[in-house]
Amino acid sequence: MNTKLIKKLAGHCFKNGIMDEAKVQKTAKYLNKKQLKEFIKFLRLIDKKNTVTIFVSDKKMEELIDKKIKDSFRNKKIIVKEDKDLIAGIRIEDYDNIYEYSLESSINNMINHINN
Amino acid sequence: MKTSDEILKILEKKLETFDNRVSVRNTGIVEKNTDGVIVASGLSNAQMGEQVEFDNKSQGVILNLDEDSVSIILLDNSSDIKQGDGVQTTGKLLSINVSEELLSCVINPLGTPLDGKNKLNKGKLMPLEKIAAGVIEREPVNTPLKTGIKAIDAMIPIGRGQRELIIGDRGTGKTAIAIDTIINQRQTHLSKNEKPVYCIYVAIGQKQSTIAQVVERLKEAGALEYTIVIAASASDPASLLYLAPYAGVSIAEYFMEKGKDVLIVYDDLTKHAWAYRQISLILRRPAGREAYPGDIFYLHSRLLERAVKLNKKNGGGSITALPIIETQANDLSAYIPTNVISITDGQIFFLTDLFYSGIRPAIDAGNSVSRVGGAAQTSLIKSVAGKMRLELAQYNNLAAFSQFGSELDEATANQLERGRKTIEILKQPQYKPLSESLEFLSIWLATSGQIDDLKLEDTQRFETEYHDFMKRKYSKVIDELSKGEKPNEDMLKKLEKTVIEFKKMFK
Repeated sequence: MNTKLIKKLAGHCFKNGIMDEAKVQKTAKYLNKKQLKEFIKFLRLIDKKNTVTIFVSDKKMEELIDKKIKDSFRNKKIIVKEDKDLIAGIRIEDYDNIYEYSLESSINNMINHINN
Repeated sequence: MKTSDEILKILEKKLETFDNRVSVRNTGIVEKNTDGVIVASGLSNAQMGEQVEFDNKSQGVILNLDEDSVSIILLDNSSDIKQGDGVQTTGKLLSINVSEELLSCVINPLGTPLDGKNKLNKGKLMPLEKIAAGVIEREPVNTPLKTGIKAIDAMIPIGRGQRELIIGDRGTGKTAIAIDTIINQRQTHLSKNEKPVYCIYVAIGQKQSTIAQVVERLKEAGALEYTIVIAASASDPASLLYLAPYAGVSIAEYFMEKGKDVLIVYDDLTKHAWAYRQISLILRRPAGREAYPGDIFYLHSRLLERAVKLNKKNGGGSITALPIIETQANDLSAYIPTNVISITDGQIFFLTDLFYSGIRPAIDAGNSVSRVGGAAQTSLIKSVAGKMRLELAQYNNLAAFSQFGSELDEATANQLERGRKTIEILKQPQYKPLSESLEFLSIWLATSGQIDDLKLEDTQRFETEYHDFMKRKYSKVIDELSKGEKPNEDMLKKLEKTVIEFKKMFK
């Protein structure tokens, strides 16, 4: 079994962005140690791609933003975390894309702009 | 000293241009670091050739885009990048800051000064990779680029906008010719009639001591003030060696866009090809002939295509490229030499045997050619060069046959003697480029038979002293010749008289 096939198998273990435990268990049975290692790597990667992490400056904001974000990232698992460093606003991490809506980032950008 | 009001006004002005849009960053994670080549996951929006920044502020360039990962070459020697480190795209293609202030500087391919001067902050950002000017923007090569070397200006003339390859084994005087050519451009900066030529010397994979010698030599000859040296020495990472010629041509393009003429020397492209092979092998690209990657031809063709002569509508600037290639045992048919020969508009081939037999510059006239330079040669040199080339060819034929027989008729013996004198006249010491008028005088002496009665060993001394005599006593004749026009009958008679006069004094 080659890498491409293992990657395909890992992809089939997800339904609407959520990992299907039964499918994972069933597939894992037929893989040797090396293949299993690669299978786990791909599961992790796909899971990462299917997860959106939202950092908020205050946990109270969670209910406010939840609905809007869900509409923007359909079929993705959403995790909300608190980060006081943001001062105000939010930061959204969608796999390798980071969207900054925080005061901290605005201030940093302003400092860079003035320095340059 | 600025008042508080002024300081606040400056800050306010800066804030006016501040754009507080949502910042979107594309990030990735380092998976592997192998000899300066990083494999990172993520970076799904990255572009080929885009600059990236690591957590420790190191810079890199993307060279491979795979399904789940990208390969990045590091632009510095930082070995502390490890698995798990973050990296993010910058949205910028690799560029170099250029302005006139770079003249007389020694920099690395990223524009960092190596001579203790301050880094250039102002200037124009020039991308390292750029598509060469198209057919519509160009015009044929029509202006000579004088090297100051008799053999080259007469037999293998170079025009502004041409790509002329300098090729030969190690230690045959390839770099010396390039340096002489740079030194000779000084007269274009002093003369009012000629357009000045700015020079760029790109040292690729050379020893630091050799680069220092070149810089010192240029400084001594007063050539550094119109020259920029880009140095990627042997101890620099392969990525810098790979980028060096592209940085050079980007700087050249800056001057060319301003309508100026530029001469760029790539010393040498063999080491450039080695650096690219090293990078490609680490990137696991399929290896081809001599383990070079499949796009090794494109590597050099896209670089040398940027040498150009723009038409008047586009400013009339030009970039003349002198790439250097080192051969092994005079083998012109190796992979990289044949590639570059086919890309360029001609080549100057240096032979080890000629070099050690005392013929310097050791140019092999038979294998050297300039495909477009003839159109740029002045009528002055043209009037003597054709005859000289023919006589040299006849001499080479006769010399081969005369080895078999001892008795030769008078005509053949004379022809052989004339050929020997011509070769003697074409010898020229290093770092002693000549003006066009003096080059003409030397070649004319040989082709018109003025030195037939001299002994072979006196030829060079006669030539040098005759030059001094002419400069001293007949400077008007020299000025007249320097116009580049074909000499008329009167002028030739005048020259004959000067030779007779000089011979009376010559001992």
